Amino acid sequence: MIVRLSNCLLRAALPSDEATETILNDLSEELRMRREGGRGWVHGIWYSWESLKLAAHFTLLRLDGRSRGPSRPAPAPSGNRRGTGDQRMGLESWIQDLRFAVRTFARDRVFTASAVLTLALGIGGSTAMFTVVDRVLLRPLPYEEPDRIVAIRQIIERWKEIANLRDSWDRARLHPDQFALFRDEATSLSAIAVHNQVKRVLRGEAPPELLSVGRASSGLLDLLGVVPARGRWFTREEEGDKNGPVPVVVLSDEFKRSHFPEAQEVLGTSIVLGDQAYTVIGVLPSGFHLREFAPGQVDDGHRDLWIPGGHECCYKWEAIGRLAPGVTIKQAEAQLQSYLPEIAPGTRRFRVIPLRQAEGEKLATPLILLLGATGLLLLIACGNVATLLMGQLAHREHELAARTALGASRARITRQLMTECALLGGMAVLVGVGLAHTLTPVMVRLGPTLPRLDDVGIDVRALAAGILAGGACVLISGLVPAMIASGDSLHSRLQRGSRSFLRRASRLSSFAVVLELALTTVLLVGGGLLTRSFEELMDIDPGIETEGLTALFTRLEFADAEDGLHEAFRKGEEIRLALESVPGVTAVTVSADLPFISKPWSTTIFLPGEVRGSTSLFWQVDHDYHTAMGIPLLSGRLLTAADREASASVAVISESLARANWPGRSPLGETFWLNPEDPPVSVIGVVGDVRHESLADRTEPVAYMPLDGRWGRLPRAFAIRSSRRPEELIPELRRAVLATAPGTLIEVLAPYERLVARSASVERFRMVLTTGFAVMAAILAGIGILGVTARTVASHRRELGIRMALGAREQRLVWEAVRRHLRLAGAGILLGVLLALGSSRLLAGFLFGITPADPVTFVSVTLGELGLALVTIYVPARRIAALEPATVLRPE
Amino acid sequence: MTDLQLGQFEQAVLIAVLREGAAAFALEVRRALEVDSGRPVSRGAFYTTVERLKRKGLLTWETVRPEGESRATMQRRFSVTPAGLAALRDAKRFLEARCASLEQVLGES
Repeated sequence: MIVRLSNCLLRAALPSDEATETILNDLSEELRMRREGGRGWVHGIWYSWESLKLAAHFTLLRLDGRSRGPSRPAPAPSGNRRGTGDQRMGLESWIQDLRFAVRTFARDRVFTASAVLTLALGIGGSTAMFTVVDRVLLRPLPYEEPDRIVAIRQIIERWKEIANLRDSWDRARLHPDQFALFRDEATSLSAIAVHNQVKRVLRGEAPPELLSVGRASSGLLDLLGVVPARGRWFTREEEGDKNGPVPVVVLSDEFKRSHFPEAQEVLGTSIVLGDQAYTVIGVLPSGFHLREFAPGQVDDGHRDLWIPGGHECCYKWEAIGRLAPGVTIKQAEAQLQSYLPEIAPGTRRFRVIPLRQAEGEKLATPLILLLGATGLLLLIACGNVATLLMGQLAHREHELAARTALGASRARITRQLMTECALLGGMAVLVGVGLAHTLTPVMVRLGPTLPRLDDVGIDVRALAAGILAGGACVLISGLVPAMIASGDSLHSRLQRGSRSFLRRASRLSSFAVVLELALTTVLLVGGGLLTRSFEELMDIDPGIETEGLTALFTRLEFADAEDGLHEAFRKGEEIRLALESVPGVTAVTVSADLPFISKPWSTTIFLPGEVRGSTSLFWQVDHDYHTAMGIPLLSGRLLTAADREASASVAVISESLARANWPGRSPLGETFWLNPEDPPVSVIGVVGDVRHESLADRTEPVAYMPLDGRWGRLPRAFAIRSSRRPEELIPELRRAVLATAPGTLIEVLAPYERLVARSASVERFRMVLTTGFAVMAAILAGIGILGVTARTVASHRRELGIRMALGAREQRLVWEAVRRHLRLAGAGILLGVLLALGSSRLLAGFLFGITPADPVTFVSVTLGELGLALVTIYVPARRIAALEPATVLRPE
Repeated sequence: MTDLQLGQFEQAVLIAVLREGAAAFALEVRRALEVDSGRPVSRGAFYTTVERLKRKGLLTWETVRPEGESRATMQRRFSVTPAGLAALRDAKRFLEARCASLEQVLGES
């Protein structure tokens, strides 16, 4: 990319003849030779720097030739002109230019500070965002030959219709049988491995701790080219079989450091996960992360421990492979596809994608859109600095005329002005990169979990991005003013005076203001749409009464299924009684799962005579669940304590399940089957729909049945309704639980309102960031308009003074100035609205309840910007009223 | 004796091209110049100088694909024209004459 951009720059700058291509070829050859030494991106920067130097050389040569005019001979064919002596002269004059620029900026500190800060804001914002994008999407993965590592997934069309599988239909994982087949037979892959993540409770002398545990097949580490820091990885024998793996464990470096003293030998020691002891056989190197795709959330790839696995049932295994030498992704995909008839003909197909791409899935679009927003902010900052520079150059007209009179060529003056811009850009890069250094960790902390952002900070790549952004700023904001300022010949300067320059400066500033306002409109519309969408999202009824409701989610693990179940129910009842005894608690309900905390089970419901069935979520709850949660009863009755003991199965169903299966009639008394062999389940009541994972999800059909120990569901979740505020109650609830059941691992204990709000944290982050950029852009645009109006009023001072002396009314003059600039602002806003209409479609996937062309947002942004423009125009225009004709017309 | 006087850098470029012979591609010539002078040679200065030497008729080039190496692109192979050789000889004579007169001056003082 960077090389292509550099080539474009060179083609534009070099004379268009056959030599140009060979110069490009020379540079490319040198780049190729350098790249053979590795570290491609360093050489990319080298290439762009060399191209920039070459382009600047030829541009200055061309400008120099033009300023001499056609009657003057071309550069004298003297060998001394371009020799080393000339190079020294060039360096000296460059230092002279730099000294002059430092003096100029030191004189006008207000201008310098505002220009540097404006640019720094743009550079800082875009560098911070680039740092995040680079870590998450661009940087090669830290494995051996990362380009050869691929993720293997399946596309299963049928899953689109299944409630809790819908999000994964095009990235379904592998079945253990598929993994076993590919491992033994797929020659297109030199290695294949599977892994996934589970939660396990670490038990021991210390209080129980919930850990993130990776399960993986034996070949994983070899495939990635990672060597354990100590000990070894699992062998194929240790993977075990369908009865379970051998209890061995490999620790992450972070876990080893936090749980074992420095000197202690960990290999051979034992740790207890759940009720099983595992022997430590290895420790991984520091910083080892491996992400898995999980619908609805972003995995940061961190695991405390790794245990062997690969044989557990169903589609639970995230598969990665290493392409065999010479095999392409397409060939590997075709070979895997060829095994399909043996597994499940015609129902699915395999998808092989580079692991880097798989890691960035779902993250690329929002991150790139945010990077685009910072790019717009950068452009706005450039436009602002361009107007500031034009204002400053207007004051320096006499100095420029004097320099021209003393023989300075156009190229010489351009170079002087560009040196000043480069100095300005350099200062802005320093401040901007510092800003990014502070801003990036804050952004990462505020935002949702993203992979590979553990030690986020400014590194060489981010610095290069900052410098590149600074260079772009200098070119955009400095080149045009410099060209205009140096464009006049001495003759024309003397003939037309400074008014001609002021007129052109004013034209350029007007153009910059129109552009700034247009881009600001685009950002404000983006921010406005996301804000409106977020409001709509927050207005969505979760289906439960969250006020005064607290959620408690415990983690129970029992080795023996029969005794474990009995023990869990006894413990659940004890905890329920303890919670009820806390003052202020009005109701406590027990269930296997709770909305917004745990992922519910999905099941197939069969109506009488139906073979195919339909999918529904399946919740097992206590009899007072709906009352305590505030889920309204629409018809029939709720579950009772007697239903749990009764021999006949009953269910309360959600409104959407009733609508889907018994459209237009009452489902009460109707029956369905969860399993054709089981007795039928009677519908006894219909309740309102509930959102289960996030407010952004659609409501799914649900069947609620008594929590009676069938299907192995444990009473681990408690919802507590109270007359006191949940925040006050939480410490007492925690004490009550731990006093009754010491060693209980509390995974979640939080007010329900916070859990519901947290489910929209990604949307909130996106909205806050975009709106933040948009507000910054609006402030910059406001400053831009203020500056242009003030300068125009100042440049028309004499004319206004004459008109006032001739009797023109002050109000009329102010109105004229406002009208003139308001037209300009109107043009910018109109252009912005048109651009926003086109670009807001990119946000369509992130909007809830509104369209990308939401009229409320567009009208509010337009009116808001017009208001901003009016204020920033009116304030300086009012200065006309302070003009005294006699003072203005007195000779300077 | 030719009418053209060569600058120091132009002389260096012509000498480097002569020395590199059949392998006088831009990369090699610029590298030779850097080795000779012991300092980096700017690409801009180099390409401007070869253009000027071409305009003066002292240097010429053909665009070829370098053989026997892994290079894949077309590149310019430079060669010095007879006029270039003559100019270099003049420069040498001029320098020798100057050196002789310098010896004379130094000897007298």
